[in-house]
Amino acid sequence: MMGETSLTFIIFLLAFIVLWHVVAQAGIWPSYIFPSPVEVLSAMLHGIDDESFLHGTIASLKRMAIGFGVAVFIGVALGAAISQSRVLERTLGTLMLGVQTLPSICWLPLAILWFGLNDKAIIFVVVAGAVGSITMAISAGISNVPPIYINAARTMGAKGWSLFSEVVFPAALPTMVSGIRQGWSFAWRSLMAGELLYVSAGLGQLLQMGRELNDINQVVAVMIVIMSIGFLIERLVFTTIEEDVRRKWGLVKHKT
Amino acid sequence: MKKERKDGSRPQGMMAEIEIRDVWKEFVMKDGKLSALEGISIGVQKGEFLCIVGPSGCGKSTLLSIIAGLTRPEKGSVRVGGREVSEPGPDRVVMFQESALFPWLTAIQNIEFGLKMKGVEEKERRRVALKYLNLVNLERFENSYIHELSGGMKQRVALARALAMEPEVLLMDEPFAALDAQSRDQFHIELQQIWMKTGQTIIFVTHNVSEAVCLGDRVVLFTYRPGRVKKEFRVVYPRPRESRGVPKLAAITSRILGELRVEFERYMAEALHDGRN
Repeated sequence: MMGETSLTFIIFLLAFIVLWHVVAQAGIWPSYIFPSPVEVLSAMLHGIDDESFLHGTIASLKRMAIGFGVAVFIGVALGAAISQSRVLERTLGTLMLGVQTLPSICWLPLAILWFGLNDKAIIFVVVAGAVGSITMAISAGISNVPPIYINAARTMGAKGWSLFSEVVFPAALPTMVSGIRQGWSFAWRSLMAGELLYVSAGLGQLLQMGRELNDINQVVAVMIVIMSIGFLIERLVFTTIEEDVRRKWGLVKHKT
Repeated sequence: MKKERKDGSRPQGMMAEIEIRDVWKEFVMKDGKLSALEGISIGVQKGEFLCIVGPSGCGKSTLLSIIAGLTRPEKGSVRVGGREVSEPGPDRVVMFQESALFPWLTAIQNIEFGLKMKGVEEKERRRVALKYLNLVNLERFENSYIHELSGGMKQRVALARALAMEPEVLLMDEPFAALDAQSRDQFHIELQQIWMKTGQTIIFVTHNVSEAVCLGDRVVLFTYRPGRVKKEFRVVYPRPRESRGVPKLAAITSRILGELRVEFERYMAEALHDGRN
């Protein structure tokens, strides 16, 4: 079934590229406004060849790893705390909901004032972008564990830490994993926005450089790279984990 | 510890294993308080199979939850084996009406869960779990996840999980309510056979009167809200009993149903009266 989905997508992609090529060849717009796939491909090969894409990707992923790691750590701690206390839920939980509505890039000016124009500022934006949704998912996951599991476990002698680690945590895991995946995609967006706005290596900077050089081929090529990395990590890593968990937990809905 | 039950009689000459003394419970609702239990007093002998029947909402599940230590009464006390109940404990395991099995564990891991909490080491845990999995005839499904099992199989695992704790008292909250009639009949026979071997004290809550009569040494009938003890019926008949087609049991069932009908009419009249106000 997976193979069939991939095949459908590949056919669609090929058709899309052919259509793109035809429109570009029709000459409705000049090629510096509407590049052809051939030119974009050559820009991409060039970027791969001179390793600028590789270095950009490494710089971006390094920031992601740190920022997202910190966000997961803080989010799990805050989420667990909020789920355990009504007071925290009404105070910190509500604040988190509010903060979550703030587009993460709005943190950048503050981050620059605090940390200066360096990696720390960008990583801060990544953390700020992801931590809210992770916190809320962890807290919701724990709060929504069916009471019957907890009651059953308690009558079998589970309490304290063992109740949490053996029952609450696994019961909440599917929601937590979804929240962490969502946090990842927020983090990725925040990172790209941050890298666009100020210069210091990374894929966002390559994109910005393309604009400054009026090189639309590079702009589109980098966009494709950013999209592909985001898509691959989300698909290959997070969706795989999420589906594994959901299948094992018996939560998979069979599509007809 | 085996007991003679071939004649269907209760074990003789023992003090009450479970002593429910004047238990009151109310719930706070949006529009005032709802009295769930009013002055419930019941003594249950060691090794007795007690069934509690009553209309839905009569507080019978609440009472079970109080005995389990999951809910606290406003007034009154419950003593199990001489000790007052203040929190849940593995001496009083509950089998719930819906499957409370853990979906992230396999059948055997679910059965091992309570033993793990008790600190039983892994090999011994597996041995005991397998023994009870065999007892409920599910040995082939050792490594199945819960969602891979049918409703009846799930309740078998739940029963094995409760039994594996080897509790003094087994509390069963409408455990077969969601099953089809055929599986339920089968369960009734098997549960009695298992109980004749294990000799546990069982409190079994149900709204199904013929089920209660089939299983219980004694059937306690509750009134509708607030729950009070309305009447008690003793059932003396050899085991394992069939849940259908036994004239003597059918006669007791229809007597209880008669009482229930009176109770139902009282409730309807009150509801009508309340509706007019």
